[in-house]
Amino acid sequence: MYQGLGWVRLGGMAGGVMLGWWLLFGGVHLARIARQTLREQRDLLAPEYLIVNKPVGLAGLLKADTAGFTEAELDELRRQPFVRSLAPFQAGRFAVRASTGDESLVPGLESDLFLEAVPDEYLDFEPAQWRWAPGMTEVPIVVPRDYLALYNFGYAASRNLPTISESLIRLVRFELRLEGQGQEAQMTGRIAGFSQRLPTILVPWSFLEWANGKFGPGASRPSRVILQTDRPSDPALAAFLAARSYQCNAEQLRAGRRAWMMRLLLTVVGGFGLVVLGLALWILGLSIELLVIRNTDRLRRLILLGYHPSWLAWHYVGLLGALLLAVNLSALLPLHWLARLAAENLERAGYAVEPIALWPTLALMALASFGLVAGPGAWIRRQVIRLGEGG
Amino acid sequence: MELAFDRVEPAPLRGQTAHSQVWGHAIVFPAGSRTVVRAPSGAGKTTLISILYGLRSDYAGRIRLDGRDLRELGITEWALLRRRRLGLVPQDLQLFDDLTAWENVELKNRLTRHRARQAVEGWFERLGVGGLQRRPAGTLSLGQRQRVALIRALCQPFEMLLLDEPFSHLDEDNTRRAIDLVEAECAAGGAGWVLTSLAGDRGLAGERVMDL
Repeated sequence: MYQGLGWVRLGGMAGGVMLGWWLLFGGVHLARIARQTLREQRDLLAPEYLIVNKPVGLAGLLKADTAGFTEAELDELRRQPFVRSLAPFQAGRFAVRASTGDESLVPGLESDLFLEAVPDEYLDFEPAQWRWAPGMTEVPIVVPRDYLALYNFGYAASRNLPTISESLIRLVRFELRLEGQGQEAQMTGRIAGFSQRLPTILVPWSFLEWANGKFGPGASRPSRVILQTDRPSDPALAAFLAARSYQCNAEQLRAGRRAWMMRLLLTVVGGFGLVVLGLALWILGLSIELLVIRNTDRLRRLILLGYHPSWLAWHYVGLLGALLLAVNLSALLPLHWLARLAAENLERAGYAVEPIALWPTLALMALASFGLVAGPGAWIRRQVIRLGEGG
Repeated sequence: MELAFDRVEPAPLRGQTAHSQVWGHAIVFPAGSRTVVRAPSGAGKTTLISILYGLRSDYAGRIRLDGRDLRELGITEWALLRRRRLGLVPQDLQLFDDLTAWENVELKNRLTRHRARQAVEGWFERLGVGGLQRRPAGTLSLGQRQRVALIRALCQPFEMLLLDEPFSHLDEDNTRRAIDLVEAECAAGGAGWVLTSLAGDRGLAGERVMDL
C-alpha cells in the first residue's frame, strides 16, 4: 500500500509542511505578542485625547468666526465611529491682564492672558479646590507643565531669577484684571496645577461661563475641540481629519500610524507563512494522490480480496495524521524559543512585555491539524472507494 | 446462496448473444449447485465472473442474490460478501508478485481468520507447491500461481465459489488434485460453484453444463 513512498519523499514532505507550519504559527504567535505589547503601549503612552482645530487661514483675517466649528460640524465629528465623546473648548472673550505684586515671590511680572476651559472630565489632573462659584474672588488656574519649564530654563536663567518648583509656584498669588463690555473686575489668580494634555491656560468652566457672560460680547463658535477616542491608531481617524483639513496635535496620530505599519508588516509575514504552508500542503496532497494512484492496482486487489475500501483509506489518513502530529510536536520547541526571543528583544527595545500564554496558538494548531486530516482524509476515502466501485 | 439471472446482457456483448444459454435468459444458480459454463475465448466468461463478483455493472437486465438486486449492494455489503460468502479464483489470479506465495495466502486468511496454519500448509503440500511458500509469487510459473490463487480462495467461508478457468495451466495430474480439493471443501461447507472453461475443456464434473 505504501509502495512508491520512499523515506526520502516522506521526509521531504514532512520537512516542507514543518517549515510552513513553523512560519505560519510562529507568525501567528508573534502577531499575538505584538498585539498585546502594542495594546499596552497605547494605554501607557498615547492618551486617547486629541485636540482638533481648524487651520488658521486668510479667512480668519476677515472674519474671526470662520475658524470656529459650527454645530453641524461638531455633530458630524460626534457621529464618527472613532469618537467616543467630544467637547468644544470654551474660550474667554474678554481681556485678561495678570500681574505679580511687588511682595510676590516672582516680582514685577505682567502679562496679557488668554483663558480657556474644558469640561472637568477631560482634564488629566485632579487639582485641589478646582471649584469656582460666583462671588469667589480667587480663581484656580492650570497651566501647561511646559510653561514652568519655559520659565525655569529660559526666562529665569536668562534674567538671573530664581527657579521655581511645582509646589512652590502653587503658593504664588497674582492679580487678574478682567476687562470687557465697558466693565472691569479685579480678582486673584492661583496656580492650582499643571496639565500635560492641554496646551492652554485653563480655568474652571463655571468661572469662564460667568466671566464671558459679564465681559464677553455674546456667543461665538468654539475654535478648538477636545475629543476622546478608543482608537487613536485608526487610519480612518487620520483620513477623516485630513479630508476635513482639521489639524490636531499629531504625536498620537504618528504613534497610531506606527502601530498600523506594524500590523501591516505582521499581516504580510503571516500571509507569507500561509502561502508557504499552502504550497507545502499542496505538495503533500499531490504526494498522497500519487501514492494512491501508484497503488491503485494493489488497492483494487485488496478490495477484491474483501478488504473494505474505507479501512484501506484509513491507513493513508493515519499516515497523514501521524505526519501532522510529528510536525506539531516538532513545532513546540521552536515556538517556545521564538516566544522567548521575541520577549527578550522587545524588552531590550524598552517595551513592557507581559508573558503571553502559548495554548491559544497551540489550540489553533490542533484545530488546523484536524481540518487538514479530516479534509484530505475524506478525499482519500472517496478515491479508494471509487476504486472499489469502478472495478 | 441463490443467484438468479433475468435477461442479463453485458454491454460489450450487446447483439452478439443470440446463441448463448446464459445471456438474455432467465436462469437460476441454486444454492449448492455446481455449474460449468463453457465458451470459446471472447464470449464473456471473465465478464460473467466479474459481474457475479460485483466488479462490473455494465450490463442490461437484473441479477438477484437471494432475492436482492446485485446493483443495490453497497461497498460494505460487497466487502462482507467477499469475506464470508463468495469465493473467487480470477483468471488473472490477482496475486501480489512482490509477496511470497505464503504471504499472498495470508493476506486473505488474516482478513477472514478462517483457516489454521497447518491446514493451509497441508494444501500447499497436497497441490504440489509445498516447497514454494517462501518464493515471491512473481517468480512462480503460471500453473504454480494458479494453485496459490486457489489456496487463497479457500481461506474464507463461502457458499459459492467462482472459478475462472482455474486449471488452464495445470497438467492432468495436478488438475485432478485441485479438483479433488475443491470438491472436498465445497462438500464440507455445502457450497456450490460456478466454473468457466474453454469449450471442450476438461474440468470439474458439474451437474449442469451451459454454453455461454
